[in-house]
Amino acid sequence: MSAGGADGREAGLPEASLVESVGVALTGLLPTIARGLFAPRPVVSRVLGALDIDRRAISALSSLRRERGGEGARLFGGRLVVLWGTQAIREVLDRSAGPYAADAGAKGKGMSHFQPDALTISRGAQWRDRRVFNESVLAASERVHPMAERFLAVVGEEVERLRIGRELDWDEWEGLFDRVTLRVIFGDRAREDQKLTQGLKDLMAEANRLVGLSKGGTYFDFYGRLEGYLIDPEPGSLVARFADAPQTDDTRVAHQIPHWIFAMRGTLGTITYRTLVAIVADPDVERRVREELADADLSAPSALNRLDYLEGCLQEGMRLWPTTPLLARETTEEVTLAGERIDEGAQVVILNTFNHRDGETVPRADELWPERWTGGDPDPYRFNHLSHGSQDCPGGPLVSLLGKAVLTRVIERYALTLLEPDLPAGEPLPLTLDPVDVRLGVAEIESTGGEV
Amino acid sequence: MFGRINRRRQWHELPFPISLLNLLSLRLDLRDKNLFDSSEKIQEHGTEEPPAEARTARTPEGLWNDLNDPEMGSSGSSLSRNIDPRRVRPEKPPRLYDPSPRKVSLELMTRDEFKPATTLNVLAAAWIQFENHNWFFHGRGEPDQVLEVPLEPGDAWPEGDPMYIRRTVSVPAHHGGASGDRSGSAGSSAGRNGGGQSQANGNGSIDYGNTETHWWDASQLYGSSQERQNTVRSFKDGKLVLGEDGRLPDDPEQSGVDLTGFNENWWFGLSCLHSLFAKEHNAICDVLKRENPRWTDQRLFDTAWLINSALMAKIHTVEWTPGIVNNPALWAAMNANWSGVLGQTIKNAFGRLGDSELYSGIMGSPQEHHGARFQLTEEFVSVYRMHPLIPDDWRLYSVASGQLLDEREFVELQGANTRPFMDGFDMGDLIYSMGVEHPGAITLHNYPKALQEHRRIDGELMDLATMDIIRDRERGVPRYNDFREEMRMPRVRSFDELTPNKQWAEQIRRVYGNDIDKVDLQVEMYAEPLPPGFGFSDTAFRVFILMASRRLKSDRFFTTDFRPEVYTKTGIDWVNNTKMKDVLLRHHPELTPALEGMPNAFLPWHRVGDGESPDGKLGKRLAGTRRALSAIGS
Ligand code: HEM
Ligand code: HEM
Repeated sequence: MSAGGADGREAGLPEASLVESVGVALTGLLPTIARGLFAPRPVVSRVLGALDIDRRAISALSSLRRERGGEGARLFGGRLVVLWGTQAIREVLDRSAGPYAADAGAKGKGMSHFQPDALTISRGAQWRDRRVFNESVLAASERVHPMAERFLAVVGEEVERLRIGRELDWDEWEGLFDRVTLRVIFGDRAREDQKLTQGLKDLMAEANRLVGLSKGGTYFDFYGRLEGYLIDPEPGSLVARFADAPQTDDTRVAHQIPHWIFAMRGTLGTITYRTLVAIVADPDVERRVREELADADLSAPSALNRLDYLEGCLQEGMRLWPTTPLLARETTEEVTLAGERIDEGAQVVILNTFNHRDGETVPRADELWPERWTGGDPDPYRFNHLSHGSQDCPGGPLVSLLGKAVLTRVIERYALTLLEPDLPAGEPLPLTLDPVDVRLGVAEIESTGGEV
Repeated sequence: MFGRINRRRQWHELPFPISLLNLLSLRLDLRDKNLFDSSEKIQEHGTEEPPAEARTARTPEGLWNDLNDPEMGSSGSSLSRNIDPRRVRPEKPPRLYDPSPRKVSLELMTRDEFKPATTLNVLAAAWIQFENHNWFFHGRGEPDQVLEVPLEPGDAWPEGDPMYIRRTVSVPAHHGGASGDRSGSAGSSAGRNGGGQSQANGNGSIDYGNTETHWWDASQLYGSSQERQNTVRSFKDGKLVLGEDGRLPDDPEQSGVDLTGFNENWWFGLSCLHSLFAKEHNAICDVLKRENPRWTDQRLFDTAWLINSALMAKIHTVEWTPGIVNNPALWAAMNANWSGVLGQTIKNAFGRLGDSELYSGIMGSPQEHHGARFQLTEEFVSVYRMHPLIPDDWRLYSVASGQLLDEREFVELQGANTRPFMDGFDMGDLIYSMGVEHPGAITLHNYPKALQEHRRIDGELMDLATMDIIRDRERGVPRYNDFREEMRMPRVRSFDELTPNKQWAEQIRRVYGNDIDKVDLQVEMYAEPLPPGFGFSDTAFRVFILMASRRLKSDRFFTTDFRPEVYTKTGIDWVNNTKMKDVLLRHHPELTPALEGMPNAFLPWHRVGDGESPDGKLGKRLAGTRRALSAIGS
């Protein structure tokens, strides 16, 4: 069905053999699920790390691509399509939530346990309805969120209130993001509402099981608490923007919030922590970051916007360790992809873990190289840590604002040393970087450098 | 032990017959904890000798049912509470209007399309209104004492902003005790129109009088005052007044409406039932007269009244209720309530359960008030606001041919139009038409349009849906979550827990501004997922199950004095051996083909002319229901 190239390599989506299929599935897909889709499973992650399973997945896919060429491969007789070519990836992501639905399989099933009406697992008209609402509240198309000033103040206060001993460990960091998240989304009065975040954590841990899920007390408790904040929304919080955001009875506004909670306190927390580690690991990078901060007014959103080098670091942190290891789509109709006919119901997978680190298509793939991002996205649709196309991350501007805000405040305040793990500058960065394995030594810097 | 199970699982999720025991334990539990008397203590020892005639007969005002506490349950006495009166908070503005009850009406209740309750017939709807009129009425209020419901911009309410709604001002609520003035004051003439003031009970809550007797005494037929009763009696052979044509007379004060014990909110369904049971009364009189040729008119009347009212209570308990709550555990429990004859299944499973209420049944057992004066409650009134049962579009058929005779809208067959409308039809055809058609399901977006803009017979325009909401608030019936807590049900936490219907959850969330604790009882009773086979909500059911046994258990004429010496042997047999179907066929033999083989007259009847009854799936379901009902032996 696909045109054979002159060199025996194919253009579109060559068919992989059963052995190859199983190889990719075992090394590339199953581990992602085993690690815990919605809540991390530390033990499993450790075992998989020890097996160096991710490297093996990359080399399995690399050799497949090398032998067959094309935009990707059809596995298991076309029921599963793995994409690596940006052309094909663009085709899929630009029509995401339409013919390529994102609510497929484990993601859809698991997520519907704790956010059945979330944007990310919606389709068609419902997706469009909810997308407009999300974009409006999150101000997805504005470079600076209208509430940015307050958000920066919140971050400033929370970093100020940290009482760190000699090490900045992951628990502390999580606590910081917890409070920032609660205050940004719900307002100051939610600052200590650990019950809310714990409720979501519990639900997400349940969702890992994928079987025998039913809605119960935890679910209603959680949504009840959440709805409580909508009654009389606190000015300056994201929920205060609801009143003016376009919505219908299909929007299910309360159901849009859990994604923001876990993306902000979990995903963004993890990403900034890893970025901080990678910055500190390379003295050269750290020096340049500090230089950039030196005379910036960190309470001004516009100033933060100009921190291009730091922005590059954050993007690299996301690229190197993508928190969404794979983007999965299911075809809702028969489609033509990279010139090939694909049946309805096929799984289409974009393996970020591979595409971001494939040394043959990505220069300096295993390095933190912030300059890669100086002129904007260097290779559109290659790096999909925030995704692209119709269903790209509407939280992008907030990611960049809050991520940089936390990094600048922490770097400004503390001298940092990476105690563990050992990440020598110039060596390839590991494929996984589990925050709980990190030890960061800290010392308060007496007079803050930025304010002269 | 069942207290624990009750908490963890809803009773209808348990396997039968565990669910039966659970249900009984729930009733006992609720009975212990939810009987509050917002007025006075039961009078244990009479201070006055009861009049001789009151020992063996009901009185029009419902006096002397309890021989020590003569005022208990009488007309004009106050409605009490199923919840602790100390926690009753009649609502005041701004809360009274938050959110606007009119907004609730328009956005949550407006019927978009008619949603039928397919397991029932319209007779079941008429029946419950008929019975409500037996039990309670708050009166009409005063035109100059009004609530002002603010309207949203763009509201098309014909009378403009604000919407005026008469406050509940009932007859003076009197509190029991032999010292009370009973000389005709007990609601007698006030029972018709309702005037006067209500009584504050000291903590912000108000007692409202019931214009009707609280007893299950068929006061809708016999009136709640001597004066009223006199107007419906023929004073000959104990009989009620009935025309040659089998119709009740026209009410001289309100032409178009029948003259009977209670005739507010009249329509042809009520007329059919009132006429039917007036005929039944007269049929009872005929037999009693034959057996006791020397009895006076008064004695014949009194005895027939006892028998006829007990028959109606029985039909309600063992036929209407199992019809509307179509659930095996309930059939058994209700049957136990009535006769104590254990369903065969239960008997086999458990053997003799001891000298319990379950075993011996209520009928004929000692009168017992369970520590609170018998009074109906505001919560009881509230859960019976079942207006979605009424269809807007009516089809009228011939029982002889099955042919469609006419199609009408609700306004044409109610109020002052009722009698003129009925003049054009045989009553048998009208009853048949109710027998084969479905009432509306009691859900959101199913409120009859006719009642959302209803011109009462006295000219007042009302949105009954708005009133259903504001009445609870005004009277301090708690909003849904507080109500649940009072009923020993866990509070609901989120809008998704209210209803599995996401659209509804969102609409309710929007109307109530995200505040789950503001959701009104009525709204949630319409939105709640119903237990299997139920025609109304579990929440309503809890109140109902509590009051159902109490209405029987507290009434001397269903307990201590349900005996041949009072009823006659013929009377006891009449009650025990008669079902709704028998009553219908006795007076309308032309209904025979439609009722052939029907175990329960409130399920949809066979349509004449097109062979078997309802279509495929439903037919099968009803067949199952029939089997189950006959297995239980009702
Ligand atoms: C470092 C932080 C973040 C990363 C790496 C990230 C990444 C992503 C990715 C890869 C997707 C696409 C997922 C898919 O299609 O399968 C996505 C979608 C989404 N993200 Fe983020 N995100 C981050 C933070 C946030 C934040 C802070 C918010 C909100 C406050 C947010 C809200 C969303 C929403 C609502 C979607 C669904 C979009 C849709 O389906 O149309 N994200 N994000
Ligand atoms: C399915 C049959 C019906 C049932 C079960 C039912 C039930 C009730 C109940 C429980 C009340 C509250 C009474 C009180 O507060 O004392 C009520 C009030 C009322 N009903 Fe019905 N009803 C039915 C049919 C109708 C019909 C057909 C009409 C009109 C023709 C009607 C008109 C009214 C009116 C005007 C009120 C008084 C509202 C107020 O002042 O609060 N009802 N109904």
